[in-house]
Amino acid sequence: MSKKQLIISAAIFLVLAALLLVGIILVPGQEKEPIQEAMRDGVLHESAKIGLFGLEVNPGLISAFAVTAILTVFALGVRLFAIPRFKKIPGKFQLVLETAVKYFSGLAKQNSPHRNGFLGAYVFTAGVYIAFSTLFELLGLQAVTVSGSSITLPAPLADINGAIAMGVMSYGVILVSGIIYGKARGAVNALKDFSLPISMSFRLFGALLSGALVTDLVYHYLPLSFVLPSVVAVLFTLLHAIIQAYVLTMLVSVFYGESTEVHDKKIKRK
Amino acid sequence: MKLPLNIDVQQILLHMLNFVILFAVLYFLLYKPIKKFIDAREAEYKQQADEAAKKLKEADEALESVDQRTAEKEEDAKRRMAEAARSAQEQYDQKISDAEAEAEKIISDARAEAESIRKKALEQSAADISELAAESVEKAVLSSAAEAFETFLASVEKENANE
Repeated sequence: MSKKQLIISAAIFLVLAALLLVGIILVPGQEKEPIQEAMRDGVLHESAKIGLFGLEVNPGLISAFAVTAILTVFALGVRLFAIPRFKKIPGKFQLVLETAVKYFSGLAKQNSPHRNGFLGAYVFTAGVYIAFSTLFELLGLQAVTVSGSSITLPAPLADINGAIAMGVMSYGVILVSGIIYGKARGAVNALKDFSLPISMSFRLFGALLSGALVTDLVYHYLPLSFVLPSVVAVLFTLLHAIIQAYVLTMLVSVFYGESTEVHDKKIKRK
Repeated sequence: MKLPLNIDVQQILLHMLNFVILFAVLYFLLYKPIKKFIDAREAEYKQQADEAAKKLKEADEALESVDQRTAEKEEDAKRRMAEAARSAQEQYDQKISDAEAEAEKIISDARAEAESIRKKALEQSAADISELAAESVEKAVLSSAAEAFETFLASVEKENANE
């Protein structure tokens, strides 16, 4: 392509883009809900409910089921086709899987040197779930609400119920393991951090919701909805996926290690 | 049960159920088999490393043993060499001593023989001298008697001629 042809092509592209932009601005769209309502709905999901076997649930729960379904299919495929072909010198895909497993089992072992079998599996699942469920919103899958309107499925943990479930379950794991392994001392250790489920739940919820709200805000205003969302949404989502998976698994490992800590009385007496 | 902020216990329980199912799936399909594979590989490498370390230790011990034996042999060789040197020195000294003794004996024998020869030579010389002297005297005596006899015969012949 010569230089002249290149200039003509670029000029045509720019003129078309400008015409489309003018058209978008001039043609009246659907009546939008005010930003306050959009934000409130983004946080509380009060109006956008989805029917599930007779129940009206938040879109986040549907997202959670979808993430579990996707991960189950992926895990089944890996178990059937990849793991039997594992080699001693790993390939790229094997290396990714091994690194993930080694990272979470190492995290568990580092923070709870004595009892870490269950913790490793738990933080692995939690880390994978948080990371993939956060990335899930990038897919932009649509669902139909009970009112008949369509809605983009959000990250499961941007739903306060999902975040609370995650926080409470993590605290439950710490508390129960503390009672089983640490006896009274472990139970007291876990119980004294009674604010832990609340802080873990709302940290997760707040962090993921803030990303979703900023993205919603950016999408809400027309001049901001060109180019910028693709950068903002992807960057926010990727950052959240990594940071939140790291933060929650790290916190669970640290508190689990503290509550199941082995105290050797004989050593102390010496 | 509905709580403020749209918190719904039923949905929380559904989220928990979802997570428990996901935990079971990921544990049995991914985490456990991959960890088992990693552990088995680590155990194999550890075993290989242990075997290598054991062999290295054995090699070190063997080397140490060889060194020790070499040192012992060297010590033994040094000891034997010193012993041999001492023995050789003793033999040397003995032989020198023997040779000196023998030389002295030879010299003394030679001296005795030379003395004996000298004595014999002197005795022989004395005998020869006596004999030569006797011969000389005899010769001298005989030559003067023959001359007198000749003179006598000549005078006799002369007298006979005159007659």
